[in-house]
Amino acid sequence: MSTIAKQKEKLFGHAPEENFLTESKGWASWLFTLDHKRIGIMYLIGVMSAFTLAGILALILRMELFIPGEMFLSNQNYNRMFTLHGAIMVFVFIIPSIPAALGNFILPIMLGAKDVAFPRLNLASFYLWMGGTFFFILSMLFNALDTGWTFYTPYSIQTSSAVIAATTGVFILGFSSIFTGLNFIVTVNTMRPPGMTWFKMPLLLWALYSTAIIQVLATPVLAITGLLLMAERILGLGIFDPALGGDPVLFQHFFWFYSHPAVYIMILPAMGVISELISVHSQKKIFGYEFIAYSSIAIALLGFLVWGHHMFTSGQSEMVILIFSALTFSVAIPSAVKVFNWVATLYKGSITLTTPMCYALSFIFLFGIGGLTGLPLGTLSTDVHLHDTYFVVAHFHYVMVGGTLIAFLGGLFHWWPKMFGRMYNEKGGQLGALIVFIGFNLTFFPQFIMGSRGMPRRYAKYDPEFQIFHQISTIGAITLGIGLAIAGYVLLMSLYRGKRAPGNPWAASTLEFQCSSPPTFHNFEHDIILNDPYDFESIEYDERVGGYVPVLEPAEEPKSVPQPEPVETT
Amino acid sequence: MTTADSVDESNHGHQNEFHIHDHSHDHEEHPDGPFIAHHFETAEQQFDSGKLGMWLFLVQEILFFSGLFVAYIIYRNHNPEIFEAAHVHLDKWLGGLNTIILLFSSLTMAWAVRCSQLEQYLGCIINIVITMVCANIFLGVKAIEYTHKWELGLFWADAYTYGLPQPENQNYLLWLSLPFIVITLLSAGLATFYRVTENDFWAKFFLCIAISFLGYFIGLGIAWAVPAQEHGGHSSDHAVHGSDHGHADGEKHEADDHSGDSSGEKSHEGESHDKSDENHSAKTAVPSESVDTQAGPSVDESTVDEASGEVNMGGFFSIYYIMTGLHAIHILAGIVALTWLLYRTLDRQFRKNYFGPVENVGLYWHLVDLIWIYLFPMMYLIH
Repeated sequence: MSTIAKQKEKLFGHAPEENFLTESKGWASWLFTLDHKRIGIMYLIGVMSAFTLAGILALILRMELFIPGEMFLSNQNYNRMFTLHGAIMVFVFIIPSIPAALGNFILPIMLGAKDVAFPRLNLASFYLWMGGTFFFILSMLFNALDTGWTFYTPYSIQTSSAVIAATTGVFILGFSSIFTGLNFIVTVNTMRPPGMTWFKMPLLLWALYSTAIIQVLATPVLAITGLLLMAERILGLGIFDPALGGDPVLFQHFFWFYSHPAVYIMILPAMGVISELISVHSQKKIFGYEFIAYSSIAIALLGFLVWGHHMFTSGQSEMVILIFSALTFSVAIPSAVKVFNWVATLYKGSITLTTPMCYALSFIFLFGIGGLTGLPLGTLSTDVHLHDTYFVVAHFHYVMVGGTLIAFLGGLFHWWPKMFGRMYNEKGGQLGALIVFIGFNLTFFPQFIMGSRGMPRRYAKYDPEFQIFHQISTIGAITLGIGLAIAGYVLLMSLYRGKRAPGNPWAASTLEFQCSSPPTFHNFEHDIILNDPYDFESIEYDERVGGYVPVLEPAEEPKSVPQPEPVETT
Repeated sequence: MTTADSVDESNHGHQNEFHIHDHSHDHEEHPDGPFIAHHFETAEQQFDSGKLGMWLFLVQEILFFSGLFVAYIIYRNHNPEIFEAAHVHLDKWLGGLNTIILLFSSLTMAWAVRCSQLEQYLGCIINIVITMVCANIFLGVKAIEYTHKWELGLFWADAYTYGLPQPENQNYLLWLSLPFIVITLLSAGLATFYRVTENDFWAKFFLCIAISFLGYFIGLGIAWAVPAQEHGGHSSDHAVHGSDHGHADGEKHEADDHSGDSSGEKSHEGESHDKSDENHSAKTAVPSESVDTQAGPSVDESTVDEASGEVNMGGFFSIYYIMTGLHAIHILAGIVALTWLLYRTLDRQFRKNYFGPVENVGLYWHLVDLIWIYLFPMMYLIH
């Protein structure tokens, strides 16, 4: 027994002398690395920088809106600010946030694999991300973009701002996203370990797989749209330009054929993260595993059929509106299936309010509001009234920020010890989560009210009757900023002061918690022990390790692959 | 990586507990061969992954083109008369020739894949080179087609100047051909250089490249030769080109001409009339087509042309250039990929358990072929 204990300490305990962070040194070893973990970390640094930049732009916008008249931003600059805030948040931050940053790190380890299927393509997609971001920054510095993140024609053809640089950026970022998705699909398909069938995969993998399907199928349409828009501006093709016989609404169709599924590129991985967090931190087997798995695929497929609901007021036939409206409601079904399953998982679970769990609970609450307010927007009669008001702004911020960002933060706290081998300060993390939750609601809930009273979006000046709502919103935005700063501070401080993390600090049963924290270059130094990903009986606390280890039986067969029956010996 | 050894020590008595991985030999060759990556268990797993990845990439490619196909459908639906009027400017014989060339290159590509599976080194090289020659012939023919239209002012919507006097001395063809001339001469020179310095590998490589790019000039030659026989739109374009002067006038009176169009169409009235002139010469050049081309436009033009006045065929050519242009870029990418294959084949890197790259480039090449198979009837064979 003592040998086993020693073994466990070695295998599941603290980081071995060499891990992927220390395995090789120097800038070149990072810039040319093919290791999915390092690429994930580089993505993480990149997307967090983009988030900070776009977040600062958002704070500037909210400051300007504190009084009804002009404070310090001219109308033109206001247009540029909200365009860049939206474009950077959507294309540079949210879309790659969970799949490319967290997913790159976690997905292969969850599969017990050494790497993704195409490590070089993985690095290439990171550099494409860098290249696309570079063009975005370029478009910001030279005659900043002012079209809104949607690039609607004909204005995007006429404006003198840097549309070409921005669409080049979108084009390149699109291919970064496509290659990430392609890599994930192939990795999940061909590199699952023997014994891990589709329905023994952790739910995050299902979510990332569904996301990858959308990335591969939808993003090329955005790429061709961007290309056509560029050609329209440079050559004058007359495909979108009404002056040359083109159809500007066709651009909207093309754009939303990508950008609506892109909404699910943003939210599906978040749902996957939440499925993990809820189950692990309430130590209860996930309720309705197969329903959650299938609902991910259902959302991915239905997401392709609803783009027309962005154009209810753009001149579609009533029949088309009716169909798109009905299809839009149908997306609510798989989303609701997930929410009910999470709540059912929490029921009678042993919930610990760790920081990731705080974020996960916030997610359910905020995503609930965000999802339900989508229904009036999908109904023609109410949408005509609410279209292009702050109600829409509040709705998608509840989904994108209250959903994706919150889940991203929860996932980041959950996997942070795995990534860097350090535990963060739990109290600080919880405080950050609480302030983020309060600040977020303070910012966006008033926007529902003013939107339903007719405050249009994208306006630099507004009627004084909305002032109180805008002021609450601005105060909320500052609070949200403080909460995020606290969360960031807690994470960064853990790198210096945090105590060393065991391999499995959360009693999680998925494979990434079977390797050391941080993992070694090859992820696993031993044959993986494949359990049900949500079977918490197969995990036990080991004092010597200071964390959780798989339950092992001395007589266990070598190469113990599927081990569904947990045995309670210590 | 070194920890595995120390763990192994303590683990020794209980080997039946775990299999500790020993990565110390990791930087050596994979047991399945030098080209199997470390994170794959077997050559088969790597092949399957590569192939699935390629198929997904092809799906992505199809969706990339799908936007253009949708744009085509919508514009053809909105403005059928533009498509009817414009397609006669495309030479269906050159288009058909290019279709046959691409189909043949798909055959040689598939043959190259088979050769690499069977480790038939020479056969693989020959087939790859033939495929590249075909790709270059295709581009040569395309270059003639493009430059001929540019000389007539048949540009995309905004630059469309058909029927107006064209600037003199545009060397469109020379500019398009310049990269091909440079590459051919450069690779021929390098081939000679390496032959002289007895560097066999690079001599062979550059010889193959030079031969491949000669295909472009074969394509130019064929495309020049075809109009010499009396065929379709292409030769009629020449006739129009010759009487360009008359068209400047014809364009001004177009609206008037169209008013009599429905009757004038069949009775061959108005020699200065732009469109009926086009249809007329097309019909006389290819008598067998005359029935088909007559039926469509005469109905549409009577209804639509009056309303829209000067029909700017640029709408059609916008779609034509963006679709065929993107397709040509894909051909160029294919040539680059084939060059990479050529290098690796000459280096004898492919073997029975490792021919994935040839197979995958082959898949890509078939897709490029397939897209052309759709483009050809959509653009050239409109009735």
